[in-house]
Amino acid sequence: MVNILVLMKQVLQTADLKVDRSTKTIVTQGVPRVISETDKNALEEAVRIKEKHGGKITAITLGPPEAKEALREALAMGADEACLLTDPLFEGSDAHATANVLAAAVTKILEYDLVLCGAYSEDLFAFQVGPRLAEMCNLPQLTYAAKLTLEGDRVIVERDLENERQVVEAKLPCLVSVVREINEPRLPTLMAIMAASKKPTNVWAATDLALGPEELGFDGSLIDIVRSSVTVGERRRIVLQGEAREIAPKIAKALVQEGVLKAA
Amino acid sequence: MTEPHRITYDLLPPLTYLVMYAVLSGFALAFLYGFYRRVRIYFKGAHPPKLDHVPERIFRTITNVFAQRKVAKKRYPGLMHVLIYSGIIVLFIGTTLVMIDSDLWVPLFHKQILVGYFYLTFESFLDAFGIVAIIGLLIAIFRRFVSRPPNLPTSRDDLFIYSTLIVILLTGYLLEGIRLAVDKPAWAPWSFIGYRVALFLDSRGLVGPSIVQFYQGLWWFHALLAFTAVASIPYTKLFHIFTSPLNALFIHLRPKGQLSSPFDLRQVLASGSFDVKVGASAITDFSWQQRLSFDSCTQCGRCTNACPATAAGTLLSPMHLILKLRNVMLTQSTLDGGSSSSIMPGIVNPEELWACTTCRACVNECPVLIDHVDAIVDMRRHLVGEGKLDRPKRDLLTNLGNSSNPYGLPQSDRMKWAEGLGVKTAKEQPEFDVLYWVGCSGSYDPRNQAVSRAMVKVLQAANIRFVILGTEEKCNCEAARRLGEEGRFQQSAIELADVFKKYNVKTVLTQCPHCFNTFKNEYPEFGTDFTVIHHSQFIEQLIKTGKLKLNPGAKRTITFHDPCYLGRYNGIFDSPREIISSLAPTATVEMKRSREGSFCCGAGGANFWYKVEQKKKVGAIRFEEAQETQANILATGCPFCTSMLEDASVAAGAKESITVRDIAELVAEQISAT
Repeated sequence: MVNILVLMKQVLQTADLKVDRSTKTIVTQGVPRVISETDKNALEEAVRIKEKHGGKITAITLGPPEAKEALREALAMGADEACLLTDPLFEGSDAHATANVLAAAVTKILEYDLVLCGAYSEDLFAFQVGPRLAEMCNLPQLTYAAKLTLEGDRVIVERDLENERQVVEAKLPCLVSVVREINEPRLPTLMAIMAASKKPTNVWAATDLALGPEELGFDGSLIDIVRSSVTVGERRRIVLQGEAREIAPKIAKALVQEGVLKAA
Repeated sequence: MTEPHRITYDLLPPLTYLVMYAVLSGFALAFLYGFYRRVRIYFKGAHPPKLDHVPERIFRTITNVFAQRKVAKKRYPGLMHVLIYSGIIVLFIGTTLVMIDSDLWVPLFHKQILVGYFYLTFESFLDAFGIVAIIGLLIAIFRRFVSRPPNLPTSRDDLFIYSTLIVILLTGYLLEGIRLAVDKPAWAPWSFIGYRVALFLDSRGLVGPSIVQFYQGLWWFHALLAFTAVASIPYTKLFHIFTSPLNALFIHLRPKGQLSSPFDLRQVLASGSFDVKVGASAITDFSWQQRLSFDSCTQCGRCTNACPATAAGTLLSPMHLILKLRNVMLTQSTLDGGSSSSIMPGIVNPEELWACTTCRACVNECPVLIDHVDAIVDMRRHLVGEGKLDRPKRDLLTNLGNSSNPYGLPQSDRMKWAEGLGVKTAKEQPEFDVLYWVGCSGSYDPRNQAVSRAMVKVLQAANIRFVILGTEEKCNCEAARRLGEEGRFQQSAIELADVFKKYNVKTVLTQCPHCFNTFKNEYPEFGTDFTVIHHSQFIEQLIKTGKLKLNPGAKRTITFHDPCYLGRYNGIFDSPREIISSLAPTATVEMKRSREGSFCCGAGGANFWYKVEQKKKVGAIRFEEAQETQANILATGCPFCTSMLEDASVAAGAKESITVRDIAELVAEQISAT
């Protein structure tokens, strides 16, 4: 029996994001919200562990009330219970403030052996929340897991470090962050998602977690976003034709002209 | 001279008939037991039989079974079956009449039925149909054991059935000949075969006292063999004699293009009970009628010979799939009393199911009205419910859910193809005659955006008051339904029905046969009420009524590929051909498989969106058939056919010699400016 907490984030579907060229801001209106892919991998891994060892899975997300939809999908995928952390005070939280809220929730739940999360979210790619949470909760952490095995109370993880694979292990309880290679998440049917609304979902605000305003949102964040702008790149669409031998120097010349390469 | 009459037990010892009926009752019990054992299985599991629209069902049974409509479609095997079928039926009725005459009528009423000219015609008739049956059986033996066409499995059943029937027929003639030779009735020549046998026996001096003994032995042999044949029916594939009419009677009456609805999402939402069993993973999950239909298969191989997935070398063979299901049904059910154990992936490999393009060639061919596609979709529904799909299938469903189109492209880009064309949306112009449904392919796929632009040119030239839905158009999820994600399909149907209602849409025009079919045959169940027209029908009318004037174009040869969901599913074969013939000066040429027997491009049943392991691509096979016609244009009327066949043309390096065009593009090029 392994009780697992899975941290999930609802993100904007990045493929649908557009840039308003006049204001150089991202247009978010009408863009669908989806569960960040790596978090789905984390949940899928949790479900597979449960199928093998038994236990209970709780999916936790911090977000606006609409994030409940993401939790419903998580419940349909196999989570037993969901927990939505939502409060207007949470708005503007950076990775530190977010991890702080999550840590409060994780501490409140208490009964867990394993915390799973995506190594990064598909909107900000900061790779921050998992490790910060582990530190706050004083948990050993195994990051970038591309493979996870559970043997008794030991978690063995193959870490994907781009150029190398590292095998590490830790004792439960611990936190594991996963990358997309770890598995192929299952896709629940629409009927299953609808049916999942019958599973229990807790909704907790700041007061439920005994958190004060100074720890939350912009005030609780370590990072101040001063300004954000979008760089708009234009493709040049230059087509060179001919034999590779003739073209290669032309490409090199063009790249030097563009400042991509430095002339020797 | 006495009136001609049937002499039945003349050469047999007295009371033979009593012994015979005692023996017959044993065989009858064996028959009944076998019948019960098999039919009992159909009742194990879900969905008991339903019998509504009885006249319609009876009519279908008469045309398909008694009149052999579908059997006779294939000339040679059709002839074979019709000969055996009619011969055996006539002889069975004849023998039954003889039994009634001698064992019922005579004892009860002390007179015969088989007398006079009726009797004489009867004898000639029976002799003739014996020959008919023998010819049919000889053709069957030749097919099964000599010519052996592909996908025609030969089993012990076949050997047993053919040899038994032939021996019964031949001994029947011999018995008749001996009887006529001994009795020498004046009317003997009316039995024109038996009479010749009698003459032969006489000429060889074989007619003596010993021949009566031989007759008696042969009579019992003939009788026992005939009883064995009847009793074997429920134990061999002869059982189709009962299952095929029953299947024709009970199979669903839905239109060809409408899949079954395992639930009604509106009711599910209203009641809040989501625990509906969707799809089939065990033989008991199919309906009573489906189990009956699996048991109707006669292994004729027509489905498999027509199947594009089989031709492409995938794991799917519709006949073998049905036979596997039947085998599970007959073995599991009888052995353990329950047959609810899963058939996937042990018996049915999911890859077989994913290989199906739902082109309906198999269903169209099946002489006993098996609906392979329905069964395949039922099993797919189960696989989708398990949630363990591979990446492309998951992406398709995820994209439909998140982006409302299968490509996963932003909904806000849906109208980009129409930039600068002056096309209005229903929101901008609420007064309109025609709603032009562009479809996802026509909206997002660059190749088919060209078709959409051609359509707009046609509509504008003909001064049609039309609008599009723009960003309110969302995928109707036809592919999701055929992949097996029923909930997603129904949700989109319910949502789109509201959009159509909001704009009071009366007529929907579309260039996509998949959208066309789903709107025409499936959406009405979810509350839509409009006429849907395929662009081939619409353009045909525009040309016929003179609203669209065409200039002469370049001289070329065009062949038309029938999209499955336009032709086979909805019977639209002539409209596109009419359009092509008005594109003077052109020559038209047909591919070797066309119209109802057309061969799929490989995209249907959501196959466009994922990869199936194929030895040779379905689209490549079809493209070669187009090349064989020497045409320089391969015309079609479906965005997916266009994409698949154009891909095939590129792969074959034949893009220059034969161009794949949608009919709308061909028409748009020749629109007269005036």
